[in-house]
Amino acid sequence: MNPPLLEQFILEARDFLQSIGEKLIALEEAPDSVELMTELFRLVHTLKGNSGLFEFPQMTRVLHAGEDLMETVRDRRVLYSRELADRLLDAMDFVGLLLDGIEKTGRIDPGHAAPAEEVASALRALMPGAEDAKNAEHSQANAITPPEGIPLPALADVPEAARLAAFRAAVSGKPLFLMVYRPEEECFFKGEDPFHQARHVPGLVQGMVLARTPWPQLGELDCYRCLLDFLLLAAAPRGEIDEYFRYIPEQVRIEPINALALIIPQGHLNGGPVYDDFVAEALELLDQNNLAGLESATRALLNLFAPELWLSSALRWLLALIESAPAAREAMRRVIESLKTLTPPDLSDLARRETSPAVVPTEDAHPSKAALSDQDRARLAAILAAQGQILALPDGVDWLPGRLQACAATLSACLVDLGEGTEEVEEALAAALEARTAQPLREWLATFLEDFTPAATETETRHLAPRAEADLALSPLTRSTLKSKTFTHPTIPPALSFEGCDALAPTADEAEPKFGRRSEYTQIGKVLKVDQAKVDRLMNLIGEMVVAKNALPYLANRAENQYGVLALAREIKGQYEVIHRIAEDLQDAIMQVRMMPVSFIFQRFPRLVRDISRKLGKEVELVIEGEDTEADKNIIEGLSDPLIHIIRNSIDHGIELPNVRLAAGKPAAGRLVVRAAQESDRVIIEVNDDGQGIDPDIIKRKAYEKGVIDEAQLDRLSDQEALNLSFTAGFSTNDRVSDLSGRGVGMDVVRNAVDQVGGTVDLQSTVGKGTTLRLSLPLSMAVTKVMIIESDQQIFGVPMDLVVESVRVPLADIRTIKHRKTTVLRGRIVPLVALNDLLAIAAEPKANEEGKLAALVVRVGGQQVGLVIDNFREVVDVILKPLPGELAKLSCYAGTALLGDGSVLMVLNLKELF
Amino acid sequence: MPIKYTKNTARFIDTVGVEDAEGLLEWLQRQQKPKVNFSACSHLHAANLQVLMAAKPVVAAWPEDAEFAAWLQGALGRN
Repeated sequence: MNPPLLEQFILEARDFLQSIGEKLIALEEAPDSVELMTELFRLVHTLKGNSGLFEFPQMTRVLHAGEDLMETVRDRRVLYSRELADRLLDAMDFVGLLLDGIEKTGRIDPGHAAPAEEVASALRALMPGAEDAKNAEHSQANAITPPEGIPLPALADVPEAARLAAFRAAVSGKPLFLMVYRPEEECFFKGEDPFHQARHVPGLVQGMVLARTPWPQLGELDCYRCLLDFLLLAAAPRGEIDEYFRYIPEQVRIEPINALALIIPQGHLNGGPVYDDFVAEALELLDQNNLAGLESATRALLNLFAPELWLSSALRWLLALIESAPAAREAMRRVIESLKTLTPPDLSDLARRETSPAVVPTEDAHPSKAALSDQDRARLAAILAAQGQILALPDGVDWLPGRLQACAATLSACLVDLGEGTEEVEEALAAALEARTAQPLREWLATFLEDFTPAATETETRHLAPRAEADLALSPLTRSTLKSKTFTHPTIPPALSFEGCDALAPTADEAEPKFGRRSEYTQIGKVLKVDQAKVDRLMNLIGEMVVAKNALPYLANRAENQYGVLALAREIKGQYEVIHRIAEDLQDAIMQVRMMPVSFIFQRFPRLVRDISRKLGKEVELVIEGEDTEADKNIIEGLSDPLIHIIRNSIDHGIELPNVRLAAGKPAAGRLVVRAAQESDRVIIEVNDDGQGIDPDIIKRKAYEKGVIDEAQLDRLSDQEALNLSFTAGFSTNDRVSDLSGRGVGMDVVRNAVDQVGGTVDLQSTVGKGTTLRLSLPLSMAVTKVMIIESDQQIFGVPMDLVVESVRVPLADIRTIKHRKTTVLRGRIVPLVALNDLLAIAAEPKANEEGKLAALVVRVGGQQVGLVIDNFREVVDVILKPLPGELAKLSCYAGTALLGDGSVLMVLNLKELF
Repeated sequence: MPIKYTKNTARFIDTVGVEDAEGLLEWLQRQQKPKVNFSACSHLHAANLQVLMAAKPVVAAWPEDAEFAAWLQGALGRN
């Protein structure tokens, strides 16, 4: 699972790619349309910018090249052409390919670095002055040669100890690479440390640092222009190395080398005695397969001679071979024989072909190389037969050379997979091209096919031994074929796929990337973009169904009581349970669709807090918690403004100036915590500051001054009630109106907004310690849980989120304090109010047989109140519909709901009742 | 201060950053026979490295880390 931001990027990127493709195709129709071009540029530019948010340098690189190219087209420096559109489409296909990888693994396969470079340079090649720019670069005082132009050092220059170490690493199964890293001159200014980079190359065996040019006098040296080159010998998978250099692939030349190529004895030739005796003995031991004897003989001789002699060096290599690669007999033989002549053994042919797997482990062998299955052989035979048919076509056509080359390339590729050399094919191709006839190739193929029959399996398998990677570099033709193959099969291990050496020099054949046109694959996104109205409709329908479902229990009751069919009633109840479960799942599913994380609004806060605190000269540390808590989209959106008000208030009124805070013994920086959490079916958002808090006395005084409360209330009001006054419209304790807050629109706006989405606000404050605002919001607004209560033979609904508990209070426990009825519940005094009084119903609450009154304890405005009623009924899910027309002015009702039996339930708005 | 300069010796301590390269270059220019001591050094920025390579000071002590020492010996000579 990718992080949400990445998910979103992938989604958007696909949309962008789609639009880019459409625009490019539209441009083919109207190549002069400035509008289309500008739009196209904007799309690519945005996509590039987005990709930069993540660590996808390969993608950014390609898009950057595309952007540059489009800029030149937009500015009319290059004319739009079909070729250009092709390249751009290819590039976007490539980006799509990268996206697939990202979606699967969350990252880009480092093996894509080289093709990314190719795609990017193919784009740049179309830009005007691409050549000039290159030339200009070369003519600069200290021209930088691209890494491909840097000559690789001779392996002989690498110290023997390092080569030995590399050899051992290579035979233990790691591919070897020789690298030249030429950092750009300006790299220090980009915060790079090439030395650090070089020191930490994966699998580094030996590194050397060289001066790019002879050093100037110290006085003329510019220490901030990098003039260093690094030579690196590393044993690590190519993928790791590519990944390591992914930001600077153009500064590194990476060449695979063969372990056997490291065997270069060095030292004083020194005339010395002739070692014929040892050579003869050693060869004999080797023939006898007596490696232990050979080893002791070698060690013995090694002890006799000075270590810096050529002889000693060769013996050390022989030992290394015996110890690390005991199967490499031929290599040992040649090293031994070289002692006669004191010339380095020529192992190049071994390195290419016959080396045993132990000596040259291929990295993650190509499937076809390991062994050919019968199926693969049959396929190969089919390919070869097809080539035969092509070659049998008449010769006298203009495109014969192309056809011949294509055939030869295919044949070479087959040979490579079979583990055979391709020289014969090349010779035949040369002859065929010369004579302008397919004859030589045809003949070669005929001979080859004679051997290539299923019966010849045994002889073939001998050739199937994994070959040296050096083989891949055998002929340019082979290489280009391989290259095209790997583009279409991105799963092939990267080390086999690309040689960096010609990545920047696209030939006619290679200029066009060959990863396959994406238009051929039908990729249908897994994500739908749906109009919110459609989701809302679905939600309403589900809501209706929930209500309709609620009719079933009534039906069951009627079946039982009215018609006396008990069995049917039971069945209906059973069915109800099933439908109920499905309806709940449905409701849950649609809620999930509408859910979004609160981070959607929280993400703006850091900037907001920074701006406000700067303006006020305060220091505020913002802590955000639980930003991945989810809630319904409408609720989240409705909360955006109130939360901004709250945060402004907290910083403006709550948190003190740094010096005031220090004087009060608090840290200079105030702490503002915004916390979101889910509590059952509510989302709780808390904004807490450690500022000065709110003084209830000041609020009371202000409220009195403004006529919000009268004198009697002034005395009676509890501190908590005083705090709640701050939610009254037009109330502000701040005398000074700032542009941030203090205009009296603030807390009442907050409360209204929260009320609108069915939430509650709770304010708590301690003078000197800080203030906490707690918003409790429903997860979803679609379906409301309502408790049905009964009073004077009427039923009413009370939203469940206000209900604290339902209790039966004995009449004896009801006391009258100051003309108000109260009772004590769990040590707390709870005022009791009869619903009948509130609704002006002329009836007394009815007690039950035990002489107890039903009291629904509800939380209103931070206070608990017992609502005295006649009876409790069940809790139902309803869709709350606001009262229409004139009735909407009846603020004591939150709305109506249709019950399952068809009756209408009036849902009380308790906040307005008290 | 990751480079400690005494009479004629520059002592490199821990990781020497890019910002020290200029100071090092100036110091090397002033010295007749500069010596450098890497014994307490774990890494130096490439900018310092190239200054040292250009100035070829006498190395009084190589780093303790063998791998790092090998790099520096390759760059500054094995004298």
